[in-house]
Amino acid sequence: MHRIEAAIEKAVRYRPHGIFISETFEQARQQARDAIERGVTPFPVAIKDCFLTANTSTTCASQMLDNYTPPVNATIVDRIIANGGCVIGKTNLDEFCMGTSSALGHFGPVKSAVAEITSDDWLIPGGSSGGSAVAIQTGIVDLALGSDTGGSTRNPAAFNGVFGFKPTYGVLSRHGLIPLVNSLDAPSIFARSAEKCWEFLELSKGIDSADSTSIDLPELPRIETVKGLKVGVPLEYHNECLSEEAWKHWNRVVNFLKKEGASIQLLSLPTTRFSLACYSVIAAADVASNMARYDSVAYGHRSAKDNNTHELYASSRSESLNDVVRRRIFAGNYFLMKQYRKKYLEKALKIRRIINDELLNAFKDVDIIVTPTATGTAPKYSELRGTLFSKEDDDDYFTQAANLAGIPSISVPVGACEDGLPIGVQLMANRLKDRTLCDVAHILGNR
Amino acid sequence: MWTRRRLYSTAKATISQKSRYKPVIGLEVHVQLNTLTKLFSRCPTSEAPPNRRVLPFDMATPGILPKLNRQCVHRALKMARILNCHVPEWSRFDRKHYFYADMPAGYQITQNERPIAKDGVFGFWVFDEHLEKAYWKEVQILQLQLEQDSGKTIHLTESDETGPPKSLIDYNRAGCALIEIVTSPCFETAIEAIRFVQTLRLLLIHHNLCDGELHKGHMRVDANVSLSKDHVEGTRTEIKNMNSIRTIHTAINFEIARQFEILSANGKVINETRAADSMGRTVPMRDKEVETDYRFMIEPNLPKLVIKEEWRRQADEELEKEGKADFEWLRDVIGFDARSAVHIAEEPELLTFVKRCVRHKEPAVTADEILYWMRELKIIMQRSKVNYPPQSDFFAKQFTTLISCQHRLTRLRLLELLRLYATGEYVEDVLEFIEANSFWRITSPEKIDEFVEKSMKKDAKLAGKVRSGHAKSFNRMRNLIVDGSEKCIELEDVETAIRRFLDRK
Repeated sequence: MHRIEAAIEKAVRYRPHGIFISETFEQARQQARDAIERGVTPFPVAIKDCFLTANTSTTCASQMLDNYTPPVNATIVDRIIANGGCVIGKTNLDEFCMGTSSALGHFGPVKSAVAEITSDDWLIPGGSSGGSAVAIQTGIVDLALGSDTGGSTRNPAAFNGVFGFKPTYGVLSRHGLIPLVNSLDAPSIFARSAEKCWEFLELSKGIDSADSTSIDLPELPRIETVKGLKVGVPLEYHNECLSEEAWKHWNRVVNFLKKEGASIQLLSLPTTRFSLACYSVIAAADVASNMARYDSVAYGHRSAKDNNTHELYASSRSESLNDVVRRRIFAGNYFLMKQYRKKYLEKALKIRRIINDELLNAFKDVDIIVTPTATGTAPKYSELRGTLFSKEDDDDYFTQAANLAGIPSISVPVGACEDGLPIGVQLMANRLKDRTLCDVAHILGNR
Repeated sequence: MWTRRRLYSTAKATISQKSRYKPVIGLEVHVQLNTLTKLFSRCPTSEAPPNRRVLPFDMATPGILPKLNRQCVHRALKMARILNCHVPEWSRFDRKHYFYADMPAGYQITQNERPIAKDGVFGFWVFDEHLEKAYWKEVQILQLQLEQDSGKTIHLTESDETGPPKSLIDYNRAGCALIEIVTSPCFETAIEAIRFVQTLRLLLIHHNLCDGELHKGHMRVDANVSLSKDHVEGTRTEIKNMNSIRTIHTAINFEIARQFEILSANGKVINETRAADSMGRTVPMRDKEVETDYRFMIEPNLPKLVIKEEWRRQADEELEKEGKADFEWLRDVIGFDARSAVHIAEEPELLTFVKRCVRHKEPAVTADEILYWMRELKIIMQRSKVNYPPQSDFFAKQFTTLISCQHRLTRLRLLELLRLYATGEYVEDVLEFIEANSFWRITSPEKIDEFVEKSMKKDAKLAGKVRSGHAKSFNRMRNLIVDGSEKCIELEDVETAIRRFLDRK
């Protein structure tokens, strides 16, 4: 109970950082009492506001869902609460998870707590699960739930110096996760250690009859050492965007693993450089389709302009969805048109298959692949605004491939750069090797 | 009235130019499956007040995923077998996008490129009063696709009770399971189209796939109609959402006539969607000149639907167990003609009656005999203002007994007995009744001569007129004799006997 009260106190203290869209303190207290009654130890959690929570608004940081309260909990939310999780609040994000800055949501930006914030500038926490990452970094909660479609958990984890773990696609149920890209979305875990990441995976994983794409995770033995482990280092991840600092830390990690007895292999994953283009097309198509339901008829923001049905749809959507979202819907509808589908979408799907095969092939030779998580440390809001947010795409480069292949991936905090900002390194493993991935991350985290 | 005149004139013209223009008709039949729950949610499908059959998935709550109903797959497999379709190892679901207020997700989950079944052939009899002879027709089934139904929009006009005009949406039907049956454009007449739908309907009901009430929307039919000229394809129109056999018939015929009129005046038929009004006339529905792009996309939340061998077997076994549909049994086993078989099967009361007759009848009694006497029975009952067909099993037994005995009874006696049993409350077995009253037909010439002699003697005045060759008197005398025999002598037999009597004297 004390832990929950402490979490609430902290959440109040960090309000200027915009971590939560809604605070659910009373419910957290009730959940704690219920847990104790069941003989379960309560612990504070934060849930990204794109997971359905019954009786609590779920907004996706959009005006469209400003007043939306879902009828049910997401499966994963139910499982976390059943195991003692007490939801302190719903965390802030990029609108409908589109972005890696958590800066443009309808309810204001998330501001990193790694550095001081001034009245008009702050350090970007990464995104889209920025709120959840900061909730862990500030110590408000023990577990924060994020979602990861192209790096939305690993990227903010790296920027905030915490662990961000995207499990194998399907291991965590998507039922109740408001989709971004259905075939790439993975509910993901933020925690302050790799062990905690694994622990939280264990209590929420497993087949969910409501999600036909959910799968079981086979048991694997725990590994205590990296001795004999085959570690792959893909050449193509050393690209022109990568900062000197990031490169240095990446090297340091590889050297550490080598020193500990792992064998290092250089790999080539040449198709990775197309992952951004591939991702953009696939994502836009899914976005256009998934967003079609926001027509303001049964729920969601409804415009006052309602002279006819189509005007009602158009104005309700235009008024309440931000530019990023609307651009992707526009692009997606273009890619889905009869005359362009073959030219763009079907090609993108083929490239996805190649990227997938390339990665899975690599895992015939290695157990773990090590790469940077992002180009460098977190930028300032002013820098990002200056580049019109194009830096977001540069960072996505490192994380997208894992989503395209559905493999588990984790961002491990590996220290601070000269400017004192945290930096992360990404580990990837073969499908269903989530256990091994967390074990290696744990060894790396404890070095 | 002008429409009827117009229809008439064009119909005549069609006949004269029949060889040049040929109607080409394809059907899409939307069959609502009678599963207990919806296609992708566990929401019950039973009738309820508006919006009382809606689970989060059915109203497109974001984040809620589809979960395929196994029973729908089972019914689809049965239907595939009935329509002799090929069932590929796997099929897939697609999203078909369009904005419509009663379709909450902005797309319908359907099967476009990889349907659950395809390439079928379905045969049925085509009959009609205007056709000399029924014929067997086989149509190509292009595909069967599992898909979601939409909700319903109710438009309210301005009224004191409900205020300004508004549209209300009922999601009860949203997400119910449909199978769309797509045929090739191989129908040539409206009659062929409706016989297909009628036959299909009876099979779907029999095999427990659909409740088959068209007026409730359980089966909705779209028809693509065009006229080809000298084997060159014409522009087609689509008549949407027809929900009665009658509408399908009149609307297709109307559309054929309408297109013919346009073409024969050198006009152009435009590719458009039309609706059938209550009179069966087709009217433009919405502009289809700009073809709708449904922006199809694979449904990412459902894995491929891989058909298990065991499922196929279950479907086959169930069909086997269910046996022939009533109309097939009447036609193939009992020997009814195709038209009567369908007609009887479509009328539950009639079917019950006929089934009883078949159970009670002697093997020698044929379907044609049953049909013949059913027609007579119907006339008798209508004249007596009682409901046809009779409801009791007892009557059906007496009815078939009488048919077995038809050659041992006079026609008039038989009709009289039918009238007595159909209108009265007779409980005595008809054979005992006949025995007790000696109602058997009298065939012995000596016996008949006795009746004739007796009557000719009794009414000497009339007998005189008969002798002088007065035809009316002859008939009167004949009727008197028949009545005197309690209708046990056949009219012709009496006539022969009278002539014999006259010759003798």
